[in-house]
Amino acid sequence: MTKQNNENPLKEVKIVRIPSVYPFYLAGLAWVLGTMILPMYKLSSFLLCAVISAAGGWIGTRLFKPEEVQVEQLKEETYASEAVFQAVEEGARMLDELREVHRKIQDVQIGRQIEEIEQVTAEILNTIKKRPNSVGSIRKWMNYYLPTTLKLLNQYERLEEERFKGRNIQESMDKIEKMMGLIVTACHQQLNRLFEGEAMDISSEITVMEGMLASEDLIENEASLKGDYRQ
Amino acid sequence: MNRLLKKKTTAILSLIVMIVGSTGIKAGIDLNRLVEQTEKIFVAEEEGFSIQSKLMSKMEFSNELANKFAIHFLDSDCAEIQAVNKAVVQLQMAEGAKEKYQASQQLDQADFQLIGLLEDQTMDDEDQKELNRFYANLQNCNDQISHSIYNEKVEELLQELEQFPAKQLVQLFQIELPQRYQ
Repeated sequence: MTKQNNENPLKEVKIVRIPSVYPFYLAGLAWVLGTMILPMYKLSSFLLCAVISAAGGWIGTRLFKPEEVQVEQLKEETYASEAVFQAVEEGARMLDELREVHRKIQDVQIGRQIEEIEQVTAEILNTIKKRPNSVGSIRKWMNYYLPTTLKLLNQYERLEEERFKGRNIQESMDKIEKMMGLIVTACHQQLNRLFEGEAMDISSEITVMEGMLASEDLIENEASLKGDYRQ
Repeated sequence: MNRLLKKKTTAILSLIVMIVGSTGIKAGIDLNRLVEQTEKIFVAEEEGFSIQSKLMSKMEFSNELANKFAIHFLDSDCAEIQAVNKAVVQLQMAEGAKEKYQASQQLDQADFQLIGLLEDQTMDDEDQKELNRFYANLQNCNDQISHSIYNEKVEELLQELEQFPAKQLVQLFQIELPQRYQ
């Protein structure tokens, strides 16, 4: 049984039924009881003990129902390659960390920026799932920019906790706040880049089609058409 | 503690420990009790006599024969009397059914050699009767020993303990099995 995880868009919460361990103890106790009444040098006694023990275990499964536990895991889907799976898995982990630090940071502006980074990062990872060939282009983002952002945010959170904020602390916090604006912009840019190839392909297709339509006099004025497209 | 008990590994390990532990302890107790019960027959049988009691009687008769009766006709240092005394001591010292059987055989040999020698001596009718009585008593002891159910019970036990898993458990616990009286 699964349901959508409200926290991390890349993960889902799965309800796992964990069987109780008590039947094992009951089976053991049943065996001990069996040994107390049977002569334990006969094969038949061992078989009978096994039956008694199995019965004890079975009664245990009836008495102690499995425990239902919610487990957070990556959504079950087919990934195009191991690299994509690893990127999504790592991304999901960093999203969890971002949410954790988001919870701790009190500054509203920084909070909003983290939220934006979370959304765009999730979108980047979802795009990667659909366009596995682009996985290479987010490597630097995943391996350097996002971890460094997390590091800066953790430092910001620690500085925020300080009761007396001296000049150095305030300066550091200001620097991080300014940097966060740049990171948000870079994050959008990173997502945009994933569509760069596709945008170029579309543009080329349109140019070719425009030329062909004009050469066959199917359109009156090539320039006016261009104007329509490029308004 | 509760968290540890709730772990599957702990539960499985506990199950194994309970199975192995209780089986080991109970198998050891059961096998020792079985051996003990059989060995008890050597000392006390249900019918009231046992090999041990007959061996005691044999030792008493032999002692009486050598040290009370024979010395009237033979020199107390004579080899036959000494052989009987030595065999009696050996039987007293013997441990285990097998060793007792061998000591008893030696005592029989020494007794009958002494009786043979005494038969060659001149004695009146009373003494002759007494000698015959010794002979009859010793024979009677051997006869009763031969009818003991001890060997039969030992045989039954050994056959049972030859089967799986009793044989392996006996080896594992190094249980000393009762010996046949032969």
